[in-house]
Amino acid sequence: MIELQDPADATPKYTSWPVIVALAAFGLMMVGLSYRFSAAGLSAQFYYVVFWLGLLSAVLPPAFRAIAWGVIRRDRILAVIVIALVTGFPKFLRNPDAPAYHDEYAHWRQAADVVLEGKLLMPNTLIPIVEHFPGTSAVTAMAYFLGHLTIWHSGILVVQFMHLAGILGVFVLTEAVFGRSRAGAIGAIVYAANPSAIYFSTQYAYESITINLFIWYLALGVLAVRATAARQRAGYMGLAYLFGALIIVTHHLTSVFLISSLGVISVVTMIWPRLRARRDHQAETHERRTWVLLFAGFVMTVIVWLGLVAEATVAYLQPYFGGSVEQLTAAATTSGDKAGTSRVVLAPSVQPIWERLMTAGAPVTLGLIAIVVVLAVWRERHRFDSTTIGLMTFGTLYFPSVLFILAPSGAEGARRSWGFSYVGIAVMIAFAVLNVRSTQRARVRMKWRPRLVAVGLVVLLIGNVGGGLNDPYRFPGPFLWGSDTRSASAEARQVGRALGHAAGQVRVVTDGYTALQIAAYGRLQVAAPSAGFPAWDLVQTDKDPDRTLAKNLTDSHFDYLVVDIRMAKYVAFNGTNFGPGDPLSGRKTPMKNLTRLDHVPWATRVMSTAHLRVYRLNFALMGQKLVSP
Amino acid sequence: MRRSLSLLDLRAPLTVVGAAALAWVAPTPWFGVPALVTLIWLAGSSIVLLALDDPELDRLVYSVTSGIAGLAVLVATALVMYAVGVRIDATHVPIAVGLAGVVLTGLSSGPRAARHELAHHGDPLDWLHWAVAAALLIGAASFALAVQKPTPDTWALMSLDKAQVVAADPLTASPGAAVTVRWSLQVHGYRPPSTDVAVVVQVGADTVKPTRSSATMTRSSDGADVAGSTTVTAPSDPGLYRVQIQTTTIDAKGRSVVRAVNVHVQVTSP
Repeated sequence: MIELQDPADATPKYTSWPVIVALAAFGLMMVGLSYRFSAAGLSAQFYYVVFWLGLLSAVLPPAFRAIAWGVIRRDRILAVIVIALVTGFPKFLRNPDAPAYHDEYAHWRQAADVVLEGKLLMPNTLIPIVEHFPGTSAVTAMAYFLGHLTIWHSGILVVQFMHLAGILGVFVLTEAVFGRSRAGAIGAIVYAANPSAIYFSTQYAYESITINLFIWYLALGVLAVRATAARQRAGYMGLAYLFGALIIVTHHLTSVFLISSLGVISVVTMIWPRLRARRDHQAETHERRTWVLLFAGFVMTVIVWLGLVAEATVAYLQPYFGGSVEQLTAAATTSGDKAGTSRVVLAPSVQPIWERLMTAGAPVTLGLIAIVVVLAVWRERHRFDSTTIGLMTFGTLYFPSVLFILAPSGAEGARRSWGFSYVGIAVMIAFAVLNVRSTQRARVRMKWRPRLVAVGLVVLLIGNVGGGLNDPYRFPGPFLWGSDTRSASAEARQVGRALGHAAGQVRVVTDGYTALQIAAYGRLQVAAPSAGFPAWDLVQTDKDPDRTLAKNLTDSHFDYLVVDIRMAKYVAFNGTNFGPGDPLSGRKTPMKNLTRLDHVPWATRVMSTAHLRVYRLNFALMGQKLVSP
Repeated sequence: MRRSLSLLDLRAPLTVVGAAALAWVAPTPWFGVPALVTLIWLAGSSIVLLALDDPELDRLVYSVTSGIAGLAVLVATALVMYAVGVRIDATHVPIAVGLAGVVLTGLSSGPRAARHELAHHGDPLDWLHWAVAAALLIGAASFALAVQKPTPDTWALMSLDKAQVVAADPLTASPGAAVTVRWSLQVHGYRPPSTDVAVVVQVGADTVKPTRSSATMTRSSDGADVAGSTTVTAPSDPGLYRVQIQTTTIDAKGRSVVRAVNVHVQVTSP
């Protein structure tokens, strides 16, 4: 399908295929070099420039080809595929051979346990809820046994395929909404620039799979609404139900977001038609029925799964929702320090100032576009059906979610929501770009339009990636105590393996960073300290644990303590050694707290490396005296 | 109109059987990955064809949903295997996925044949150009991988022997009795420049000379192992004592590295 040519937007020479491929290859190499420079400890200002020079070289030319006028649909799709491939590359390159992100350790261990034990629903010590959502481990284990790659690479293959599928899903969705392949390309490119797309949603974890199923569920919904034959409509809905079932067996939070989005669209199908001047009752009924059925069908699937397998999910998710609202309220009504609950936007970091400014600018830009879109939609409301409006309405949830980044409990949820709400944002921006008025006055400024689009895309891409994950997650580098990604060491992995080999799958108290290593590589069960179970007291105080804690540890068979003495040398990058509630938040653990462990009767140092010490605990000896300890 | 069984109807199920067999008997990625992709594609596209019996279904929607549906087949097969108690392993997975694939391709043979017959192709892709493009991108990705700084995989771990790692209770000894502590030191990722292992023993607060001590280092190309055994005499006064074995070795950079392990010894009354 060739669309009408707009001379001002004609395909420039730098979007020819040879140039696109050559620049994409150049871009990948530059991304590789930026990682090399960051790992060598060079200036962040330098490696960030190299990274963005590479990524923008790889993304912008295919983006321009995809959205130019007069390009055939196949070329738009191929350009979007190039964008999907190059945006999947930075995360793949970040840790190509082993887990590095927090959730990756949990999922990799889960898949490895399925492979080792030959069955699903294995307990998971790092993210206990993973046990009840076996989709990721099942598909990884099955791919492992059929493809004979490593477990890690089997999982990465699935995640990278789903990344590609998701971006193409947004293409299909936006194209179906507006009936133009150019709209599809715009939507896909905007979605590929969302804050989660390049790193967070391409990590080896359950949401990286289901976020793309979410997109396809909505895309199939739109196709069902647009289908003219009942048989076709039923087929699209049947496929959507299948993908919905795959979502609920894989990830809880995606199910929440899908229910929310379907709920919003269903409500819009009931309200929006009444606001339009021209009405088509048959089409409206059909549209409403389709979305309500998709909503109800998915809710039923969720109820069945939660009822049969994953009852613990509601209790697991509740603190994240309730807690973040309370913390946001506290942050708004008291000073952050007093409340102890606030996060600081654009806190000190090695990120260059231009990236941080774009991070602040991206939501502001989107907000302005959203206002323009809302006004334009209202002015010409008879033109748009409930599906289009419903998707845009769901997209507006992005804006309040930005506020939740200020609340510690809400930050994770907010970050996770962007990959979903950006589907609506993509529809909104596609609408905005497609509906730029072609008046004579506007034509005068047409030569500036590609430049404006380029600047907008650059701000969105750089700003969003900058607002997605922090520097240690994005770039390799020297050892950095207290970061999930750069506290990893061969030492900790070996301690986990050695302790697992000697003592089996024993229970261990340790800090949050060593926990990832020893649980993943040693199959050890790690404690989750909290105010009610302050296992951190073993090292975060200079006193013996109280009787209650000692009894709890003994009764729960937490027989080992693993200590990394670097917690006494450095303040944890993430602020705490033991997570939320750590009594020494923002401070180093005093070295005397660690050295005293060699002089108490209830701990025996049974293993030791340059930085790690493993203690066998026996609280029955607490109260006895060591002779001249 | 009834269609008679044709070779085209059998081609997909037979390909599934072949791919499953290949995944089973040839456990290497060179055969396994094509087999995996084939199984996912044929099983997934069968579901899409059954759901959307439309020969003119958009190729993009058909291709991507087929891939996702193929992954859904893998998950569903794993769930069924779990539910009926079949072990998820290298033998049962190819059989189970193969069976699922045969059933699905068999059920979808009609729509598949119709799509095959009616499929219209747009402008053919210039495969040579795309092969060159793919080679260029793979080359660039390989370069990016090759320039990464290798993660150091070096460590040295001192450990008590397995029994002492597990034991909760202190060793018991009568005054003046010999107490033997067995320990090991593993070095990985570098060859220690010296085989010397200095051992210092403390009982309580006192540094003592062991009555017997052995610490022989065996070096390999990228590491070393030390099997150590240290015997001390239990103190004459009853009580709970800490016995610390401390070793000093030279690391790859020529620095002295000290590591220690402890045991507790309960010296009983005579």
